[in-house]
Amino acid sequence: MTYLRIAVVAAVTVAATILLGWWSVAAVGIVSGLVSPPGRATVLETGGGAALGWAAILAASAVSGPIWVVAQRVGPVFGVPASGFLAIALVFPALLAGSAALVAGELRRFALVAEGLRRAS
Amino acid sequence: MTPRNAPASFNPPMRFFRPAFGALVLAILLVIGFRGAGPVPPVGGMLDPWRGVWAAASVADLPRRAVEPIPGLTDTVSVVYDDRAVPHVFAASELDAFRALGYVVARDRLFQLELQTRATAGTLTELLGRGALESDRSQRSVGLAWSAEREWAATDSTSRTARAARAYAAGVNAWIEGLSARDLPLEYRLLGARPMRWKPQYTLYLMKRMGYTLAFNTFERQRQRLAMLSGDAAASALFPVHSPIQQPIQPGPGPYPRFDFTPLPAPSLRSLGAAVPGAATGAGEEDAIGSNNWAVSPRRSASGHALLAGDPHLDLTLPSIWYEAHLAAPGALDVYGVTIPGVPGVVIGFNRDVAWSFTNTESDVLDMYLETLDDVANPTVYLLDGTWRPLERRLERYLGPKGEVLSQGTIYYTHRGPVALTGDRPTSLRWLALEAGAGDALLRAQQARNVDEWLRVMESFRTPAQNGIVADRQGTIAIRSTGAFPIRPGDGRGDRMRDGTASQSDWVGFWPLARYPFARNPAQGYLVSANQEPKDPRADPGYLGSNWPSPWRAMRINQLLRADSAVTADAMRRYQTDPGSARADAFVPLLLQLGRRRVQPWAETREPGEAADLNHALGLLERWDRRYTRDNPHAVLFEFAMQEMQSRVWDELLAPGPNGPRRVATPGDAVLLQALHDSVTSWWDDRRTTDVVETREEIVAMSLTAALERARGLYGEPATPDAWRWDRAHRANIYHLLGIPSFSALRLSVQSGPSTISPSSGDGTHGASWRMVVDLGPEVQGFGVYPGGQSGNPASPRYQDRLPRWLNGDLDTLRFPRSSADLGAGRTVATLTLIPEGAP
Repeated sequence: MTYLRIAVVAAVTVAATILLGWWSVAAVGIVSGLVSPPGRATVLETGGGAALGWAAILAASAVSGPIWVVAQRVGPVFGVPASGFLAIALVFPALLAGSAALVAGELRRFALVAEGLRRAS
Repeated sequence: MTPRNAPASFNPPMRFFRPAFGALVLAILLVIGFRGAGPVPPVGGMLDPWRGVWAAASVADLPRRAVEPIPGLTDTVSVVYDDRAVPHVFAASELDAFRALGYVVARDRLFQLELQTRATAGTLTELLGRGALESDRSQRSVGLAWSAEREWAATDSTSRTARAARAYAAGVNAWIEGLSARDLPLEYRLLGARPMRWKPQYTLYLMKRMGYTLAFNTFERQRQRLAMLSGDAAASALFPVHSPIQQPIQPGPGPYPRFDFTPLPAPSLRSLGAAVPGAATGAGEEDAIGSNNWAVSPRRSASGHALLAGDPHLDLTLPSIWYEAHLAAPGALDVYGVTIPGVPGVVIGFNRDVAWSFTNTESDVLDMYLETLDDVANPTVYLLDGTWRPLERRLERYLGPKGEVLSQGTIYYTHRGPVALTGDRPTSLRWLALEAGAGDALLRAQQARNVDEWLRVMESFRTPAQNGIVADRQGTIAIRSTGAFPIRPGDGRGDRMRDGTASQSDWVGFWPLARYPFARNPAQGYLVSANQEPKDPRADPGYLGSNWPSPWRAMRINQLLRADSAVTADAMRRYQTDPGSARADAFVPLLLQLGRRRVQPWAETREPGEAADLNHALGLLERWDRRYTRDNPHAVLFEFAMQEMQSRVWDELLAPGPNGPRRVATPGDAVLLQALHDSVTSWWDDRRTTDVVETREEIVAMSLTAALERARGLYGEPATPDAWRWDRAHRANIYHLLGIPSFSALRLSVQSGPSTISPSSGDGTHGASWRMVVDLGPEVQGFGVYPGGQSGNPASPRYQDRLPRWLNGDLDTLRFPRSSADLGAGRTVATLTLIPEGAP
């Protein structure tokens, strides 16, 4: 289930990023958080899937162009080495999707608890 | 152990903390992603692996094949890129060729097109924000865009210039309109900006920009301060109207070089460091902007053909100021060379019959006038011939990237030009570049079939004045300083502030063409220009300019060509990076001779170590071969000695500045050489030492030992291998247009020095921006290179691929096919077919 969820999140992230833009990674995280069991694993798997999705796009771009040169040129503009810049490019979607999944999962849990309380009363 | 996704036991604080924490992280990431924070730009779009900075990698290479529509094309245009990424444009008409040129230049250099246009227009703030405000204010105060717009409005819309500019603009805009998110240049992604549409008049902006780079010289201000410091006679001698070393472009009554040295008038007795109105400016630097060109007659070439070489020296940038292209249209155009992005056509290059290049004439086409205004803070009128005349006013608004108004101000104009309200008194400037442009001369020059035709079409070229050298397949060579040269009233000089209250101060006309510096097939068999005074004043003492660059490069090129009666194209290539120096040849023997005179007195009167140091420095200088090779161990001592000597000799030119005294300006090295030939001039006395009067020999000896000490301090003992390598002391630096270090090529080891034929001095940010050699045989063959590459994309392998060959002084063979098929499949790396919009 873990690998499957990561793969699905990665695939959806690739499609959403290409079609809609970077911000859609947060939307993917929210959906993942809503449809998956709440908990740390969902957060980690959603974040990991998003990072994997962006890594896949970068890998595909690397086939046609020098990704590493871009990192070498642009990284220092922000005071980070090329490897650091590449790492940021993967950490960013992971945090974005992971935090969105966490928020969505917790909201879902609150909704469930509220529903339970309502029924109990 | 709890299953990973099992609900944890109910823990109220954690139940609230976890979603709050997640929401906070999410909110922060979204804010930084969309808007950035402080110095951090909006990172979301930038990091996006599909549309963000990474996309620069996917467009780093040219697509192998592409077909694109362009509005206005009359027929299909075939563009083939050779293995040096040079586009060969084969079009049905000249205008179609210019449309295609606009397209391919935009494809490779879109950000450069916009940045240099905004820099000229003074609208950089709209792209870069408030940080560019001072630069924009300065540009608008000069009035380049104002002048370009005025010129465009007055241009006949059916003229060749207007049609070419419109066609070029259509090509640029076709690229912009078809731009996908992934095609956007990297710089726009970093700035979060989108490209502006290109207007045809921006071509004129760039011509004005060329004028600003090459002919904007407000030396009058410096000279005024100099005259206040040292007296008018001294100022005239230190910054003379005629060069003290004559090696003119137009061969004259020689022999050359001729040293017209006369005693320097003593400086006035004004006290050292006395207040001088206006802030002190930095010392000038020779060779800051310059160029070389030369041509050899068939009788002095090994091949029996005319040869031509050209290497304009400009700011070195990445991407380069130049873009290489070949434009062909049957019966109209077949030209190869370099164009400036934004200019339709080739600026320096060759066609099937003729080759040409330019150096800057350095003529004085800008005068400053002291004006009298009714109110300096908020003027409305200026005084002219006893009556008040209204000032023209323009409100300038400076906008930010989001269209917000950052600042505004008023620029005032007299009938002469814009008024500067800074300094102790308002000044207006009359500058030829604001009144006239290049016209269509450059367009027509591309089609010339021989030297005489080329010279004829270039007669209409007005500014910036250029020494245009030309050679043809018939073996004719010629050079003419081409441009408009103002005639001033009175003594005719333009190097001093003029009285703005009298119309009699205004220019009274322009030199007639017959008087222009000119030579055609001279007896010596070659022609050379390197920004030196073009005409020997013994042949024509008329005022063309003042404070000419010392003619060291011209002297060295003349020396090399005189010594070579069978010049080859390869020899011309070698000469372009020749490490020899006429400046060193002139100074070193004198320094040795004068320095040696102090060895014995120093041994008797000074500490033993000082005399030993002097001997050591003299020994090192004597062993120098006077070449600026990369590993040369002695050039650094000479350069330091020259700097030390300048500071000791020209101490009278120091004026108080915010960070201590600074020289208002530094006389050229030709004047320093003149001083060295004068043992009694009072300039030798360093007035900062009040208890002693220095002699020439003493200053030379002190300069040598100070240079030795400085070099030791910086690089260690000279005996240590490689310690004093020239490339440890001096390197070239080629910055990206935005100055981003990781987009730049820095600390480059070059075989160049101050005043070598390929000059490099100061911070190493200027130099030979394009090197070209053309052999005008039955089939014209060109060779060339520039420091950079065709692509403006820093991720592209074509961004700086030519740099190693430029550094080595190598030239590439320039391919000049007669048809797209002629280039050959093996040398074709990409093809682009441009079709009329709407065509099937």
